[in-house]
Amino acid sequence: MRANILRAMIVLIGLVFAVLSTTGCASTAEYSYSPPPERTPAASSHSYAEQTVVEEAEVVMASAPPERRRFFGRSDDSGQGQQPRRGEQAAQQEATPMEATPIDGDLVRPDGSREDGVAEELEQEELKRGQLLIYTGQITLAIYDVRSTQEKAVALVEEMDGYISQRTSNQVIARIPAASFRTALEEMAALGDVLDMNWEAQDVSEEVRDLDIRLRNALQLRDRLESLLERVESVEDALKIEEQLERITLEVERIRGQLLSFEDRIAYSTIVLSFRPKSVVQVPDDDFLLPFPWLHQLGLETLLKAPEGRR
Amino acid sequence: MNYFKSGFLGLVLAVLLMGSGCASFYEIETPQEMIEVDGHDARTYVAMTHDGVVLRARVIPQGEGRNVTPQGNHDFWVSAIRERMRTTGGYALLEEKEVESANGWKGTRLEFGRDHQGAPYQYWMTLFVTEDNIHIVDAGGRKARFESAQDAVERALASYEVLR
Repeated sequence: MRANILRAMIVLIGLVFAVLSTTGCASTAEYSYSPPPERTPAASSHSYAEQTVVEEAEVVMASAPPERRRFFGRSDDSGQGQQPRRGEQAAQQEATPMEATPIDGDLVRPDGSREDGVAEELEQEELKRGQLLIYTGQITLAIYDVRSTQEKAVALVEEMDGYISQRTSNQVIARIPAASFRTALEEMAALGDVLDMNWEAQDVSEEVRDLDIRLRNALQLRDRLESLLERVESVEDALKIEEQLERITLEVERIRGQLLSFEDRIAYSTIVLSFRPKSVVQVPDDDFLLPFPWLHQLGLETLLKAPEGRR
Repeated sequence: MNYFKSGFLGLVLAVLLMGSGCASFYEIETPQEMIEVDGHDARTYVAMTHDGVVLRARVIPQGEGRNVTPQGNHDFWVSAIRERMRTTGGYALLEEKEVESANGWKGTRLEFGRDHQGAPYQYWMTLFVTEDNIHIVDAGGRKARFESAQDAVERALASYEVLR
């Protein structure tokens, strides 16, 4: 009887040990399979803390406006896989010249009140900007002495502290400081016989302000994610937040790139100087042709062939 | 006797008519730097330099009748030619000058330029308009060659007389 009771106790102890062992295995497997079926109290407290941070990140994502929410999108094109480390990202950001530009507004105060600094800087920047205009002009000259005229145009542009962004056999694209746009347009037109000339001023104030707001939101979001990342203890959750951080960092760089492009186009106007050949066959149907054959035989073609025809 | 008189008058008339038909509409002196490519006729003249600068004069009748250009004044033809050359001819108008023929007829010189296969050419066209005729004297060639021959071209133009 006693022996049976002892056997029963051994079996019971064995069962309890087996149950405890099984529970321990499940806890170990928690990192491999999600969600875990059970957690020991110790493991649970650790995971709960991590989960809270991740959930907070999700709340940040969910509470963000659509523009911001986009940064947290879990689309398949997010480039998952090898994630750069935070240190690497920071180094990349420091290396890019965009970081030093005033438009990023990514300033950190000594007391750490980064978001306020960003907002103030951006607001001041917006006030400074006022109406933002991009000037573009196009001049079409009749084809005559193209090479020489192009050389004159290049010299003119360089005198005005501009530069040539493209030059082909029949076109020059010049970038001129915005303050000299009208003068440059007039002086370039004077280089030849103008067939067409037009210019426009495109107001991009709204687009730039939108980009500023998007940049501000993205920077704030990035700061919050960074602070969350400092609190996370699970590798898996850290990776998730870093993934979001990488996305938002890319977005920040993209917006900064767009703002830089706007700044460049605002600061430097574009003038396209073209040389256009025309011939009778290019006359549009709705144009006129005077009905005198001799009039259409004027020009170098018939003149230079005249001696041949009279021999 | 009457037959003789009639015959004589007829002959005189015929000579006059022939003379009027053959009489030139212009006079021009060919500069030494050029040669006439062919003996000039009543309405056309062509001369050229040794390196291909060509000078040509043409007289186009205007007035009434079929196959005749309708009559227009000087300003009309200058405008028509200027626009035709610039818009459909692709020529750059470099300069426009008021000129005078050797016998005092007012005219206009349009100085054009145009590139052909990458090489710049110059083309001058001088226009005199009378009641019955449009006189067009044009000259052109490669820019460098034209500039060399420019004095000769200008002398020839200065010698041009509008006769009819």
